[in-house]
Amino acid sequence: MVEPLGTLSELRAELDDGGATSRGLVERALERAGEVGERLGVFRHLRGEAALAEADAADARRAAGETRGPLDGIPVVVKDNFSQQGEPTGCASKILEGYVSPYDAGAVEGLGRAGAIIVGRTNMDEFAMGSSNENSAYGPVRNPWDGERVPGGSSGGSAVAVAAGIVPVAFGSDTGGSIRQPASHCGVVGMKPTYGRVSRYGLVAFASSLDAHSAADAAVALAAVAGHDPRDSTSLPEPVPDYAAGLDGDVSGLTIGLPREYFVEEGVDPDVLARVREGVEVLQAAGAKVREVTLPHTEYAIAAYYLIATAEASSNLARFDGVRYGHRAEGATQLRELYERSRSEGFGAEVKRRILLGTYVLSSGYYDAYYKKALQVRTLLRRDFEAAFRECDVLATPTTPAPAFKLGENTRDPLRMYMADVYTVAAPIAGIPGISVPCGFAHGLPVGLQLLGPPLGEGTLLRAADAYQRETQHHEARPPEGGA
Amino acid sequence: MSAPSHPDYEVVIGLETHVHMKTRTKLFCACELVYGDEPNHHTCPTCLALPGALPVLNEQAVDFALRAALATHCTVHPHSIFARKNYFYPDLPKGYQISQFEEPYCTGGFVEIETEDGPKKIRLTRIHMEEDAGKSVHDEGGGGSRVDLNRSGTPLMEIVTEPDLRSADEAEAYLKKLQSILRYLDVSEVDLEHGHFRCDVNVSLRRHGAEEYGTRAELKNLNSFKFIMEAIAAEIERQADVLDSGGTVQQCTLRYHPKTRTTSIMRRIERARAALPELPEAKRERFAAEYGLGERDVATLTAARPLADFFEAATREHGDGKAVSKWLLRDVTRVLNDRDLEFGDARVKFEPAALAKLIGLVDAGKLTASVAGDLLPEVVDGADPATLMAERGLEAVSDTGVLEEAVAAVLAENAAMVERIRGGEDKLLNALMGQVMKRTKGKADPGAVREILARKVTE
Repeated sequence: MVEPLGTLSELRAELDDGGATSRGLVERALERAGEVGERLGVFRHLRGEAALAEADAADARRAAGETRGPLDGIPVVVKDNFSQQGEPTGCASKILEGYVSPYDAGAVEGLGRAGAIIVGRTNMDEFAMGSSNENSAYGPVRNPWDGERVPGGSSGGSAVAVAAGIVPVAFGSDTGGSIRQPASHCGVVGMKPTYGRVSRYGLVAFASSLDAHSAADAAVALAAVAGHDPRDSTSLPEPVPDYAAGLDGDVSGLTIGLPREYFVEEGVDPDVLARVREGVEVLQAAGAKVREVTLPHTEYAIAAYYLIATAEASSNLARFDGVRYGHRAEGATQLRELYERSRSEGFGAEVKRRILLGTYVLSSGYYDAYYKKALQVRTLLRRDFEAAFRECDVLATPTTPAPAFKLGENTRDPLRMYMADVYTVAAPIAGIPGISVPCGFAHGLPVGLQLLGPPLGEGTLLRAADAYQRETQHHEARPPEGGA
Repeated sequence: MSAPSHPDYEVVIGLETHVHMKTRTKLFCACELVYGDEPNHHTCPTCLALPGALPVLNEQAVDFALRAALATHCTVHPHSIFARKNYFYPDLPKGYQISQFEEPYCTGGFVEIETEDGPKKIRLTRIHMEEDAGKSVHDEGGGGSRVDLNRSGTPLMEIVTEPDLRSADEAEAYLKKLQSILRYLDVSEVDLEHGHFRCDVNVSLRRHGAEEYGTRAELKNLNSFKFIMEAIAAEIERQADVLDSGGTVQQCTLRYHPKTRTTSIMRRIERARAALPELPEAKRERFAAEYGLGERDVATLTAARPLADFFEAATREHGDGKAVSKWLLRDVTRVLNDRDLEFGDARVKFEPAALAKLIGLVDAGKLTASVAGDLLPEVVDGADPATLMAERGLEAVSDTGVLEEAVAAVLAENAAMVERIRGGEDKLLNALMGQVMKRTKGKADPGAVREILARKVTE
């Protein structure tokens, strides 16, 4: 069996000192994807020859002294909801069966410019709807720390690809916690940038995000995909700072806020809370100040999130009608029959549930009571964060209320499943960035420390996370036999 | 004063005009706007609605729309919102049209026209921007339907007037003026025959001098001045005929048939309108007004259709919505809750008529409320209340002879208490009531018992 791949910094060093070639790395990544990845259900699609050809081009650039930067020649993966020209873009849904994207997502273009080699497309909850990766139409992803447990979702495949040493960096999307929650469950760093920091063009979701082993690696990866994209009207025009250069290990001027509402003992595993408190103490010992803050509208976040997310899903998924691409029911003779059967056959249970909820929420007579009210709650949550960030630089919280649960444990109880997002939903609602950093273990499973920052506070978050990792070794722990 | 366009009625017309803007590219993508090219030639991920594609607003379209707003004296709003109008149709690739609904970019202007009486200002309600759909081409030869998305995403302005026009002539004058303004501004070809300029016409009639507007009919998608004029004339005639014969105009959507110069109702839309269930909000308002129920009861009754329907059916049978509501929300709900059931569940065999009957028996004094409550679980299970009552001999005792006897017996057994009541302890009367009810096994009509008791105690 091929050895797990190292971190981005390690692979970069191997390439730079001639100890490895990009082709060699990509071959190893593909081989490991075929072994460990196969067993854990990580991939929807591997690029094989196309990736190797790109690796050869990267090797040629390096030989000519024209390396494009730290990601050049490095194997990475993207979630199955990133459009990539000539590749199936399936969102792990039957309804997109056979669809091949004719265009690249903005983030995929960014990776191309940086020379990163996309070796495969990772499994996910269908249309990024789920918190366990059990909603893929093609079977679940398994947690490398315990194959009977979920990796979290919806970007489960991306988190596992990094945790199991298949690639050093993976890209996903995070609309309710879809990167941070699986990163926490799999023991890797998961970063969700500010809404608009990374282009959404070509992404079948709302926010592009990434996984890596360390904050330092995440800083490099984020720089490759961040920046303004005129094809996404909500893309932010601010220049992208040099995140890696800002990692000085100094947190002496940093004030960490502990939101009172996130440290309520009820509904959270005491071991998880203990690990998070220890994590905060590490930063405190390194010079950071700690104070309690309040986010008074926290209890409404889940309700608001699921109202907004389902409403938008019902409208966003209307385009999957079997008319222009993807799955079309056979033998339909009437228009309505074509729609009903194509959509009934193409969408999975959770997607249907959200379309129904969302259509109800948006229907005449309920719009004001539900959708509009949820938008008002969003404003209140934003104000909560604005007020909190006047008193501190970052917020520290648990990423999830408990470590990874067992496959099938929550599938019959959608509400309980939604509650797994309790600590992660507020950030996307408020549009602010967040990062989950491994902070130890509870019951033998990884636990994540979540740091949240103000809009465009990625630099501060990465600096704090990096300082934490300089003081701790939790991110160096690897799953048994490298995820075998 | 110009001659009225109808001798008996004043004609009231409002217009909604859709204008294709002659921008270089589409409203939300960079595809060129070209007419007559091969189908689906001018398309991209955005106007094909591929997964992940996003709209970016066309700056030139905004400039053109602003010109139109300023030239028609509208108030331009610095903040406006694009909304999604969701419906499924093959030539609408996203499954929704991007349009402006609650907050259009401008409101409240006017277009001045010349009339025989001099200049007249036709007020504009609003102008908003939206995108056009593609085109469906149906092969009559049975070869199926095809969709051309070259037009999908074409920028439109929808210009809406207040009901200020009083004749077909004024409508024509307004449209010509609008056409001329838009041509001057160079924002549209404004060519009706090529579909750059389409018009929906709202027509209603009212007696001369009337304050209230009549019910309006909407004529859809007219694409030539000639047809617009003819359609208005035909519709005025149709509505006048309806009103002359004592009928009322129904709100409807009409199609104009140039060959016969008549209008006819678009059946499909009307069927859909007729089949549309009453929506919760309308139902709440109606329940409050029609049945005089409190806000909370109305909210509970209308929360789900099966309960609301049951309530209405039972009320039709019984007559008093308040009584039905009281029984439904208190007693019936308790019985169903106990069994973890609700209306709409196939296991519930309860008929509205049975509830109406049960309440009717109470009203008529045949059943006491307490006995009726005891019978309710069986009635909910489908039993007939009258049959139950007869079989078990539960009919309320209102035979005064029997009651007088029972009361006399109770009074004789409780002489001390009677003395205290006579001494002013009125509350003790209830205790005696209870004893009479016990003696009659709950079947006594409480009103009658109280009356007899009160009389006998003071005798």
